[in-house]
Amino acid sequence: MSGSVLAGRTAVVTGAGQGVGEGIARALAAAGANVVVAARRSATGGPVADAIVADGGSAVCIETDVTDAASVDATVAEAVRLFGSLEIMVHNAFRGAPRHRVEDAGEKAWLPNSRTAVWGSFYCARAAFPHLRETGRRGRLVLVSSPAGVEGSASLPLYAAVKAAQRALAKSLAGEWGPDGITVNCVAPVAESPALVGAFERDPALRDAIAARTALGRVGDPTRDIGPVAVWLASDGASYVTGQTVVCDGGGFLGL
Amino acid sequence: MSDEAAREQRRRRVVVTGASGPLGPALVNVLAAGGADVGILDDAPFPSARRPGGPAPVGVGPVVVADLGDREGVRRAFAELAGALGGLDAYVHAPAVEPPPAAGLAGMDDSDFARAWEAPVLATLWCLQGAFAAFGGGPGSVVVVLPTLGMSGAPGLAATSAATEAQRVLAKSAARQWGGSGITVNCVAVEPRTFFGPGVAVAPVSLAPPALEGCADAASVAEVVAMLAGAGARALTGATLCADGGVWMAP
Repeated sequence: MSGSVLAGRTAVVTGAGQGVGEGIARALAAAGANVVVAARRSATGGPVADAIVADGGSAVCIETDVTDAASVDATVAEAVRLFGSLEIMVHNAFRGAPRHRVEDAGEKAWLPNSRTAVWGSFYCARAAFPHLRETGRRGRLVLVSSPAGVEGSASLPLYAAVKAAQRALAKSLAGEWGPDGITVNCVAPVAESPALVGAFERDPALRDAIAARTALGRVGDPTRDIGPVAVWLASDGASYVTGQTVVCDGGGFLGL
Repeated sequence: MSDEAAREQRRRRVVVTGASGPLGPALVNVLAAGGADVGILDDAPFPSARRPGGPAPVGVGPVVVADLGDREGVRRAFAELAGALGGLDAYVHAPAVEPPPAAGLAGMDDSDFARAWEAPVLATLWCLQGAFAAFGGGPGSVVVVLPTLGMSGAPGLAATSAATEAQRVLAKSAARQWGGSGITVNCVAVEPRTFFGPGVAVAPVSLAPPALEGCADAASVAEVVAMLAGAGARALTGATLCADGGVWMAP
């Protein structure tokens, strides 16, 4: 651990037991933050926190269910109790549904998408807000969205819808919390999350198809490619950036 | 005469959801004036007590009242309307939505959030599904009318903004999935007061005044909707047209 740009700050990262969340947690810790690895199961989150500590960082794992307001409240309270403050809240945890069609999708497909992405964002924002406000204009909320939340999806329409909702939440909260100096942004990654790796295993041609669509010709790495973007958004250098979606996909989506 | 030419000569059969809302009468009137047979699906008896004294549409055909949050009820309503119209060529989704009270997200409770976030998205999903079934696997046009605050964000209306943007991107996904069946799905984004009525509290999204004065009204919006619901817009899908008089000009 060599970074110090976030030294003395505390971050909670949901869904940090694997994939993009783990990458963001590791990057924030490498930048000097105390990191709460908020994972649904300590079996996944614990080793991530242990690895951060082994690398010289500061981290603990707290089991967190982002679909349960009391669980999120408890995690935030414990983060503040352990480290004294909360400057950075990153909501990444997500559980969706298998491929589906709009005409067939029912509540069984809808609920996990909505509960983890949107309700989870709501609970994280609501729990973190009083603490972010107390940080002397260093409060940061980062929601992990997706390029699908901009352009729609032919295979996962409900996923695309809830990821779009997160972008709109970020824009709206940026306006609500701006007077307190809190920034609210989204990152929209394409990276080798466990879900995407699983999709590659089921469809070996998918990796090449995604890579071919990107300007950089590869699929992102959660720690090296996505984590540093979250670090920057959490840092003082991004204190004038809010309400934005930073698409981290190697140059795949070029819609703006 | 080809099947396609015969279809274009036939009167368009259109279902409108939200005829009791601020946009509804204009939508029905403009579509009917253009020669469409218009059926109405609404969640309140029509004309609604929601708009006492408001202008009544003149082109009203069959009317079905259904709870838009009831998936099966919506499916039955579309089947009934399509039966009464002899089929369905276009669906306009412009549900009447009560102006949401402005409230900071951090102060919302779960029931307020569910009402603002989840209910409108599920209603749109069920209506899209009902329309898809009523199209019978054939071509069709879907137009989803939304306020621009999903694209702009809306301090004080974060959950409503999230629901709006979710519906817009759901329409894009439906456009991607249904294009092979000749079904187009587009959105028309309108000034929030045009959508909700004058009672909604929204912050301005631009320092500039509307580029076109007087063109954000319901009748002007209805003309754009009618174009997208017509047979001539079949090469356009997954798009969002801003019919706000030229306020929100972002890509």
